[in-house]
Amino acid sequence: MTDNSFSKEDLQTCYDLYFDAIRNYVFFKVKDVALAEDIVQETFIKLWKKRTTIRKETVKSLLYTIANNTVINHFNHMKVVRNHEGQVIAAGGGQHNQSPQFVLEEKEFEVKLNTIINNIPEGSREVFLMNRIEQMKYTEIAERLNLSVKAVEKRMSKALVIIRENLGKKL
Amino acid sequence: MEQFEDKYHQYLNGEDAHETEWSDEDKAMQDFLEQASQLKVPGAVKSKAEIWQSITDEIADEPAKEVKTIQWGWICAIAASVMLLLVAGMAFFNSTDNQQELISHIVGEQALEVVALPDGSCVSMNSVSLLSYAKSDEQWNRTLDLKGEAFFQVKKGETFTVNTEFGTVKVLGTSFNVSTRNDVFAVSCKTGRVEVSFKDPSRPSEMLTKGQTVVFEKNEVQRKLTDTEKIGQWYEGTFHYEGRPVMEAFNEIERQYDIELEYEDKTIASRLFEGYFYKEDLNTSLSMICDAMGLSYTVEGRVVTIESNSK
Repeated sequence: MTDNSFSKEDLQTCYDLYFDAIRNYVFFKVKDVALAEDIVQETFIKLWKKRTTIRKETVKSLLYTIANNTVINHFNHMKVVRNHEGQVIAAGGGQHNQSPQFVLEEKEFEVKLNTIINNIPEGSREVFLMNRIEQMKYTEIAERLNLSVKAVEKRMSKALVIIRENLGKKL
Repeated sequence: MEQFEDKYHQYLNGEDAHETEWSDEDKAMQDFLEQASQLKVPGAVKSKAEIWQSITDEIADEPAKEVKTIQWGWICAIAASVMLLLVAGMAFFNSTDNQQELISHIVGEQALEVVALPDGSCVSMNSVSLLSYAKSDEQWNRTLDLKGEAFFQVKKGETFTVNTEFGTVKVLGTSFNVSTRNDVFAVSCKTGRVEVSFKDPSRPSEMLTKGQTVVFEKNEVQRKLTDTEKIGQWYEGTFHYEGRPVMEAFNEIERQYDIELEYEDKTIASRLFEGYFYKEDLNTSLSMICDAMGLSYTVEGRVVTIESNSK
């Protein structure tokens, strides 16, 4: 292994720095804390296995990519398992029936908030929540997810349209 | 519609939007957006330290475990394939788990490889595939292990055996295609006769002749007929699908071009695709599938997003 290789200390540094961000990102996608934690664990193990090909400048967005793929793989697998069991499911990531148990003071509004956020498709939801909960600017989100700012804007627009429709419906 | 979102983009980005006129409806929106930023991600099930412990436990056994990784599942194998490429020879020869020395051929994304076997048989390996067999002539025995996809042209002779995680393919002298991708095991016979047996010994084996295909998925076996010309045609750059989830074609594109796919709506992935794509350049391949399926795509660096046109 070469001198500029990715050491175990580097892995730990990455873990310390990005654990919370990746955990939240995965949670926004899968809406289940325990599952999100499993996926984070797998993500860092996969990062370690890729260590010979890592460039340190891009490790942050690589982590997001790995996390995203791990989520997709998980749901592909779930789909096969559930189809086999003969259950009716909406295929794919984040579409299972669990609602995110966000914590908020105002109980009444909370239900509505969660319902509406649940109606936003995964790609837009993760971006929306990264902006809202993690207070990330569009450029930051784009950088993390290796997307263009325009793509982030597009996803946010979709989220906004859905929120507006849903707010109108219930008011 | 454009304007309604534009002013919010500024607002959400923390830019000053004081000149904007906000209507009552906007106030409700703003209220919602403010409340959303007060949300908190629920507390941990496992602590950060606990998870770190699990990670270090997992990676502590390297590199000996690297070889075992392949057996855990194809997904892990893909992640590890780059790593394996570098250490494959070493790991396989040093591993105490393996009694015999193996020759391994590992093909990564974008690549194809032709392997000539000791008996003169020929294997064309597709991207992201792994083939291994005993190094010594006594143990070779015309037996090999396969993960991924390969097309075999076998010289006539003793029984030739391909082991996969789902079952075994036995032939005398013929040409056939074997594919193990995700949870689907498919064998197509181009010439001669092929016997497919499954991991579960109670499941009867299937005999295939020219132009027959057997697909094993979701614990069920399906037989169908395939145009012999299409079998193994992927090696010439044409990938055929006969009523398969479009995800299989997209997964193939990921392997052929080394890109990442995202679905705007996950239900797209399971729609059935009947047709083919050429491997020329990424846009040609993507549009061949998307045009047929009423989908559209956007390419951003290594990430391709698939969207439904109807939305």
